[in-house]
Amino acid sequence: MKLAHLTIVALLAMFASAPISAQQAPAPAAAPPAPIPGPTLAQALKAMELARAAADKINVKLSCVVVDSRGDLVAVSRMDGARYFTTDVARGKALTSATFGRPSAEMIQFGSTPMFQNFNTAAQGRLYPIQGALPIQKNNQTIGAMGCSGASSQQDEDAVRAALSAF
Amino acid sequence: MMHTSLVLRALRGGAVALLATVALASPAAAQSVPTLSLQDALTLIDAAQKDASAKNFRLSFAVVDQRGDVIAIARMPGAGAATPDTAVGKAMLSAIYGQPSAALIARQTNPVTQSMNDASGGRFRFLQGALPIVRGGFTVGAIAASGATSQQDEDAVRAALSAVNLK
Repeated sequence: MKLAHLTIVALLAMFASAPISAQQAPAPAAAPPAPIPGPTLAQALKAMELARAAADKINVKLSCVVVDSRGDLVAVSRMDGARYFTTDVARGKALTSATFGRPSAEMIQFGSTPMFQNFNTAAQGRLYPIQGALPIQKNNQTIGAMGCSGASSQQDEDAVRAALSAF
Repeated sequence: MMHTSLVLRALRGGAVALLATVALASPAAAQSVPTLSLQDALTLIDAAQKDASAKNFRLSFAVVDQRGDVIAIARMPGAGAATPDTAVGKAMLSAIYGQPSAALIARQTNPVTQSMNDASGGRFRFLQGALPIVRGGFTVGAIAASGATSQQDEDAVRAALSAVNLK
């Protein structure tokens, strides 16, 4: 009983002294890097417009989705005549691209690995590792991604590329 | 399962019968059933966003078609990450029933509604904040907001519907 008491007192003393030593050698606090703001809604809506123009040129109907760096939705648009599920596919591609900071086309091989399955389980099965989404990057940081769906994957990606200037 | 499909079939049969009645009753509507375009959706979202900005709210908006499929989504800067999906869930519910989502909250425990929710992947949200979009006597879709109190969400949507003349 007494031993336990002593131990506690000793431990308390140790912890109590810790802040003092910390004060003696203050580590210079590095300022955290300023977060780069993600794609704004205005930029996303402008990008959608550019993607729709690109789709009109080759007469295809697309859904496009812009997400932020966390993969959360910023904007969605489904062109008249685009199939109902294309919004989900475009979102899944954009989510894939934002999560890994790379074009979703580069994730196709990775898509069949157990590692990817783990990611997909965590994302509630919403990842689509197929071509058609590109990351939105500023100062070498991924601030979001944009994905399209509705035509061939190459055409989907081309529409995204035509829209990236909005960011 | 058998029970569910029978109920859904009965509902669908009812809807078809209803459509036929309306079409027969009014010769003008017999020519074509009105729909909701992406342009309509973006105009509505723009109006809703203006109303929310004026009140200093940060909301997400979703417009879905009469089937509950997404046409457009927009998340205002600062709106919560989950708000777009909440808005979609409210809008789906409102579009499928052709009623304000606020009037459908009590249906959450109704077995038929639960079957329909299962069929939609459990995406319904039984919350105030969505209103049906009616054109020429037909429900062509719904618009929902999410991010403030549910009454404030609905107010923004109502403001948008009264600001935009959908003919």
